[in-house]
Amino acid sequence: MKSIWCFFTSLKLFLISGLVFIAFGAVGSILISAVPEVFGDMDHDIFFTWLKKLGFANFSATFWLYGFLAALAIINLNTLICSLDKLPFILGQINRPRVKDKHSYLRWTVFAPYLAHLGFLLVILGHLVSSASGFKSENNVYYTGEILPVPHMAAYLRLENFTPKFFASGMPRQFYSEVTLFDEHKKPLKKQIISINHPLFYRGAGFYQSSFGEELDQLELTVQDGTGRPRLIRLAEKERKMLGGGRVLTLKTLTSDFRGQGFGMAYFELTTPSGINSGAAYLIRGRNSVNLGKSKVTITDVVTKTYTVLTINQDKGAYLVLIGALLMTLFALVTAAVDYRKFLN
Amino acid sequence: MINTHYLWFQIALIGYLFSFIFFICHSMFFPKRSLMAGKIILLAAVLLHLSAMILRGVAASHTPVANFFESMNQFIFFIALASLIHIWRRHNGLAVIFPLLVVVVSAVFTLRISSRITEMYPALQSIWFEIHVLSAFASYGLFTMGASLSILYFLRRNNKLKYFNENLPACAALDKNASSLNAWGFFWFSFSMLTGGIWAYYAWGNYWIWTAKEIWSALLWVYYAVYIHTRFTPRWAGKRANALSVIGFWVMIFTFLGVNLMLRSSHSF
Repeated sequence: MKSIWCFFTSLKLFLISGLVFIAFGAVGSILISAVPEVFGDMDHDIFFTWLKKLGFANFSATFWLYGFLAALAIINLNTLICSLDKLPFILGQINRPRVKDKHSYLRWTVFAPYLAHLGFLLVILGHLVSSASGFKSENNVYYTGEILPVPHMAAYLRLENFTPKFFASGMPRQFYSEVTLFDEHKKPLKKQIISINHPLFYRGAGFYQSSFGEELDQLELTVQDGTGRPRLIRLAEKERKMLGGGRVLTLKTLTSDFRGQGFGMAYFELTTPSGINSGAAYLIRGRNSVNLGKSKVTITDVVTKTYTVLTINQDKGAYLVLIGALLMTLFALVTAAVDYRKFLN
Repeated sequence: MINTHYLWFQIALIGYLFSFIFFICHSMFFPKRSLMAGKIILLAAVLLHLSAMILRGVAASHTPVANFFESMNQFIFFIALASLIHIWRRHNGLAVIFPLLVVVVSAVFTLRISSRITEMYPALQSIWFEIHVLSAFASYGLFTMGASLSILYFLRRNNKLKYFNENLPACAALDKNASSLNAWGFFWFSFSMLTGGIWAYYAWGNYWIWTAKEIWSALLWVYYAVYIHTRFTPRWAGKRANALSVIGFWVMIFTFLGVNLMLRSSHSF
C-alpha cells in the first residue's frame, strides 16, 4: 500500500505522465484535423455522449483520446495524492514560530503551489461535470413575433426584433436579437438584446447569437377577380383565397432555397365552376406570371420574415473551471514573482 | 495613415536587424560601445514598432490582433520587448542574440504576408479576446528569452564561449534566470488560457473546443508545468530542465505557427 502511495506522490510520475499526455495530444491534433467525419460533431454534443456514440466505433481514429484522458487521469491522481501527502507539512507551516524580518509578510506564499494544484483539480472536476451533464443545442430558429419553445427547458422565447449591422465591405459587424423570455405559463421573465459576445443567461443556460436569415413567407399577387378586374392579394403556402364568382386560388406549395430575394417556385391551383387549373411560376427577381386557364396570376412581390439562429447551451461545470483557472493563474503569478522556497524549512 | 504604420514597421525591423548586428559585435569584437549602441537602437525600434501598431490600431478601429500579419507583429514585438527588458536589466548582450535572430527571421517572413487591414469578425470583438491574444504573445516572448538563456547555459557548461568576449554569469545564474523567465511565461500563458476560455464562453457557450490549436495550447501549458516541476526534482534540474526549456521554444513555435500553417483549426488564419 505504501509503495502505491509513494508511486502516486512521485514527481517523476508527473513528469512522465505529462510527456505521455503531450505525445497523445500531438497525435490527436493531427487526427482531429484529418478525420472530420469522426471529430466534426465533437463540439456539438456533450463530450461523454459523443464519446459513447462515436468513440469505440471509430477506435482507429480515437485511440489517442483514451491515452490522452488516461494520462490526464494519472496527472490528476498524482496531483491529488501529492497534495494530500504534503498536507501535514503545509499545516505545520501555519503555526511554526519564525524570526520576523522584512520579508515575513510573504511567508504565506509557501501555500502557492498547493493552491495552484487545487485550482488544477477544480479545472479538471469542472471539465468532468461539463462533459457529463447539461446540454448543447444549436440552430434554434426564432421568427420575429412568434413565441417558440426553448429546447431542454420549460421556457419560451420570442424574437421581438432583429437588427444585423454590416461593415461597408458587406462583412457582418454585429447581430442584435431583441428577445423576451417566458416561463412555462408564457409569463414574461426577461427582456434582453442578445448579440455575439453578449449572451442571455437564465437558469444556468446561455442563449448565444449564432446566425440569422430571411425566409419566404408570402407572395403578393395580382389576379383577376370574378368581374375580371385585377386584384392585389397576399397568399402564404397552403392558403386559399376566394376571388368571387366561385373562383378559389390556392398556393399549394412555395419552395425557395433563397434568402429573401433569390430563386424559388410557387405552385398554384385555381378552382372555377368549370374545373381546376394549376400551374407553377418561378420566383425570380422582378415580376413573373402564370396562366391558370384563362386567368393570369402575376407575382408582384415576395414577403419575407426574418429569423435569428441561437445556440442554447447549459454548461454546469463552467464556473468550477473558471474558479479553478483563476486560482491556478493567480498562484502561477505568485510562484513566478516570489521565491517561496526560502520560507520553507 | 495606413502607409505610415507600415513604413514605421519596416524601419523598426531595420532597427531590430541593426541591434542584432551590434549585439553580435558586442559579443565578439567591441564589448563596450556596441552594447550601448545595440541597447539604444533596440529601444528605438521597440518604441517605433509600438507606435506603428498603435497607428494601425487607430486606422483599423480595433486592437491589431485580427489577422496573421498583426499576429506576427505582436509575436515580433513581444520577443523584442522581452529582449529589451533583459538587456536593460542584465547587460548580457549574448543572451539577446537568439531572440533577436528569431525577431529578424520572423520579420523577413512577415514582410511577405499581406499587410491589408481587415475587419474584425463579430466574435473577435471582445476585450477578453484582445487580452487573451496579447497575454499569449507576452508568454511567447518570455519563453523565447528563457530558451535563449538555456542555450547559453549549455554553451557555458560545455566551455563553448571562448570565441565570445562576453563575461557571462555562471551556469547556476543562467539556469535561475531561465527558470524565472519561463515561470513568468507560464503565468502569462495561464492567464491567456483563462481569458481565452472566458471569451469563448461568452462568444459560443464553450470554454473549450476540440481543435488542433486548443489541444496544442493545453500541451504547451502542460509542457511548461512539467518544466516548472523539474525545478523541484534534483535529477531533472540543471541539464534536463534547460534542455526542456530549449525544446519548449520549438513547442511554442509549433503551437503558434505550425498549427496555423499545417493543421486545420478554428484558430487558423
